[in-house]
Amino acid sequence: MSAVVLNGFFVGLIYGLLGVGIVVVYRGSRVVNFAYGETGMLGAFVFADLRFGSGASALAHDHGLWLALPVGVAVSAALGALTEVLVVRPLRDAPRIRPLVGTFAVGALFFIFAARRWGLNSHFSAPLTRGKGIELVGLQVQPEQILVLVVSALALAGLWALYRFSAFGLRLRATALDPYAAGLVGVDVDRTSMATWALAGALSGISAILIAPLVAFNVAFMTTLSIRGLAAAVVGGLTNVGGAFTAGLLLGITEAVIAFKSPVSGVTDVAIAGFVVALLVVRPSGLARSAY
Amino acid sequence: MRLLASVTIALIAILGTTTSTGAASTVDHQAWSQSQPVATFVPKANEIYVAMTASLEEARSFVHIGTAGLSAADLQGATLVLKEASGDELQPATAGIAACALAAPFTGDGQLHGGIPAADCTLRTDVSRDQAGNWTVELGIFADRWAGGVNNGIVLFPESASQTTAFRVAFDTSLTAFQGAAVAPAQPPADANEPAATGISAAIGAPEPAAPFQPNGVFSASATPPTASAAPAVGSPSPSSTSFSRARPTSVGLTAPLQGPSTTGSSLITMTVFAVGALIVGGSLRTRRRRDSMVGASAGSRVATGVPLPIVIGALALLLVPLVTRDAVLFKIGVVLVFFVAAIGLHILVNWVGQLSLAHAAMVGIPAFATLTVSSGTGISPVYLLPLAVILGAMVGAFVALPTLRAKDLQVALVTLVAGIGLDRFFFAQTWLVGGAGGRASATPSLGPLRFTTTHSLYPVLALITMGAVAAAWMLMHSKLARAWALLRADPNVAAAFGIPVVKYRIAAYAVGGSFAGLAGGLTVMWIQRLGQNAFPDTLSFSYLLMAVLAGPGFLGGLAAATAMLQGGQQFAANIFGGGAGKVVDTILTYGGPLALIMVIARYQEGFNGLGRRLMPRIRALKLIGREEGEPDPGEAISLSLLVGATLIVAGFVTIALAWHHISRTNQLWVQNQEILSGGVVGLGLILIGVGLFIRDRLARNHVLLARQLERLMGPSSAAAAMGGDIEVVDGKDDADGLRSQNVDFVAVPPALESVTPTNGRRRRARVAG
Repeated sequence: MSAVVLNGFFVGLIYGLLGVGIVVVYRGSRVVNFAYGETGMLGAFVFADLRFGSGASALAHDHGLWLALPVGVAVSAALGALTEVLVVRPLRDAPRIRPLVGTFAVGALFFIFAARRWGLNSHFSAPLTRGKGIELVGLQVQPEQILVLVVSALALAGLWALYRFSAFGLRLRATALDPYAAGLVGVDVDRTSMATWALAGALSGISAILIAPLVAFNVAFMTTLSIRGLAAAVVGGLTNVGGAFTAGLLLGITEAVIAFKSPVSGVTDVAIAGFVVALLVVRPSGLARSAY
Repeated sequence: MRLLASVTIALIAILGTTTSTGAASTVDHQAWSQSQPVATFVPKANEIYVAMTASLEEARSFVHIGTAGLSAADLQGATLVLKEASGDELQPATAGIAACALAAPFTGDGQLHGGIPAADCTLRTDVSRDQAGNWTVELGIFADRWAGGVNNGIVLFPESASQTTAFRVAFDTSLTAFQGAAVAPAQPPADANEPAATGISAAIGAPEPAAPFQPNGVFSASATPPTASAAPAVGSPSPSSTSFSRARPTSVGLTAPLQGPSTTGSSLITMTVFAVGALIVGGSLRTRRRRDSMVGASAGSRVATGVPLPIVIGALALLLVPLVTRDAVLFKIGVVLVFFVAAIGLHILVNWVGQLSLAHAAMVGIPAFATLTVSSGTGISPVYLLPLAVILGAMVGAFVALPTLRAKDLQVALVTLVAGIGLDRFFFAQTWLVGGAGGRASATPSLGPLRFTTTHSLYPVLALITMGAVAAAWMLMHSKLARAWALLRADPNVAAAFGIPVVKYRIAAYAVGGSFAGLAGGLTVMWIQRLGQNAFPDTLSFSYLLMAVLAGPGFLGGLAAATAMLQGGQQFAANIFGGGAGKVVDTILTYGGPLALIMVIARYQEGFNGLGRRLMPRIRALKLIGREEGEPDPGEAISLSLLVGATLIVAGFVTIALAWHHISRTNQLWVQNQEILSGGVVGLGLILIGVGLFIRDRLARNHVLLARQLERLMGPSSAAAAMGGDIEVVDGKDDADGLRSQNVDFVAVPPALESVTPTNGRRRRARVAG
């Protein structure tokens, strides 16, 4: 049982990491980003092409980790910024539902592109780390998973510091609270918003590159995962980075336990869906305190 | 074939123990590997596993087959049967497993740590399971490759499109058996327990292997990647299904040939009966004076009576289309119609009520599967079950509505999304509802004494029900309900202040949307007659949303255009443009859907309906001289000659292009000559006539404008009279409910004043320059 919980913890780590990215976007521009997973997925595929590719094109070769990694992350960041320009900026004053549907469409575009470029089958992506890992309560914990843990911790600490101490973080929070007022006091709203999206895109890219070796690495892997990430973000209240991360961890553990115990298929999803719906109805702001 | 084969295989599996013990020795290596670093189970030495947790692959298996002494022909009908080791499994009945060819040699056994051989999924097939837990792989598609003697093995992995998100199948390696081709030639299943064995199975199951790795056809009009061409045949109306064309190459599971006297007879009878009914309904609508509706953005300002011409034309086209189409084409048209009916539901929710639902796939799917289950279980015609589907749809809709009541806009999206996924994942994973891996087949549709065994005989029923749905939507739009919804959409608080019970009306909106979706679900069963459990993936909701948002506020014209463009284009791309061009068009359509959505969301929020509202008055203003009030200026009106001219020019170029195309495909000189004459010359002629019409139009237009200017110069007094013309504002009579206050009728507004009429909107203000 403890092995199941621990396994759930490491799966939940992934949900949490993705939830954090969705929260970053939401805090920055009040938009739920349905293209979050696809943004990272494209980055991860670019990374995999540059690192492990063996295709006919000159790009798909091993160019070394130190070229592939930054390029992959940069692609995701650029796509994040592109999303901002395409749907978020023109709709800053529209009802919040419109940019949400817009990000859906952007995600679809990314997905279609990837499906046509890389097909729907699973690819292989080697872990960034080597080694045997460690043995915990009967579970072999891979180094890649420990890396995810470390990166998550770094991301959380970095974001906290960014929001708390930097001038950029201050501008972010101001823009998120009231873009109009922020503009009046001299914040370049467009640039700030774009920077948020680029930041989130980069985070998504890093997450995807880290996760890819742990899962079946096909073009849909981030779509499936980021829906759980979204659930985590919603439970965490959409504005609270720590809340989203914790919710993601809990989600992973709950899921693993239910899946392990339940004899009926589909119960995991219903349980989670029911919980999220009930939560949204009873306490729309999520479990965690909203944070700015 | 797959179905036949799986039945055969089941027989083989039963007989297998006695007949083919010798053959089992050809399976020489069996291994498995863990795809995620951590496992949720403790592996056993004599078992191999295929597993999935949280929709992610957890374990895959490898089986190597020694093919020494076997030719490709021997392998052609061969199968591999794996037996489950019960006790170490998790939900094996709902698991989905696919098999791919090995891309590298392997010789391992047991659990592999590293050195995991790669899979080549250009060769892939589904693995089917029977009740007893035997999984069967048909090896035919691997035959050619293996005959070379390399990498002759398969990789078994969990389908990411499986409805369960977690399963584990354990195979007992000691029972894995290779079955030679000896028993392969399948006898037709005489088994009466198999409801599908009525010929439907043969038609539908035929070119199947359902595409396994397709991730739920994610994202609508899209995700039909080139590789998925052998896609999910089991009649999933998921947008990703190019499958329809393939699934039913000739006819809708027809037992009788098309020209059978009984079927054409019944087709004619039904068509006549329904046509008369439709005429009566249409007539009653026409005589009924139209009450102004607030649904369309600007439609309300013009009073019209009766059914608009486009609807009448559309209805006629619907009824006449079977006269000129083949079965396969008609089948696709029917699929598009079913999509359209489903989209009406979401259109009402999104564009009339201003609510959002991302649970639409569940609203369509649950009634569909319920109908299917009842129909296949009791043999009742799915036509009779349509009311049940409607009611169920309304119930699902109302259920989805409940949590949205307290939520505001963003949360509505999230709540419906989550609820939709929950419903989808739960219900569509239940075998009692969706049937087993092969899906279920419905009873043959019938109505009274009429049995609809062909696409052509069934089509009138579908067409008329579709028209009935349109008529229902029409009545709905002019009802009290829709007026209340319009106010609700504008501002729920104001609506509440005016005494509209917001909660009641919102639930009603979802129930109405759901009932249309339910109707579409019932129609899906009636039309396709066989559904697999992946027929309604939750991403399908996105396709519907795409159509509704593209349609924009207004009646169903924009929705019809959006559906025809996205779904119709998807279905017919190859038909219209030929194989090679079909791919290009397919690309345009798949990218075009989301791109258009972004455009509509960000820039042009009125969608196709808004476009129609702008274009229609211009097209209507066919008269050039003697312009009446309210008609647009000839400076921007589209005249008949302009329209015809443009059409002719396009037709001319198309003719020439086609002629060129044909010429390039033949080396027969006489054919080429003929094409040059008929195609080239006629095309040129068409273009010439078109250009002539353009010139004529321009001249006439200049003439009118000149005359107008002269008039203005010569008679300032008449201009003054025009400026002083009365503006009569006709207000709604019963202002008390506040609902009609926007129904302002502008009568006799002189063109010069249009610019200053405040409520007139952007469109007219822009016209001052003209």
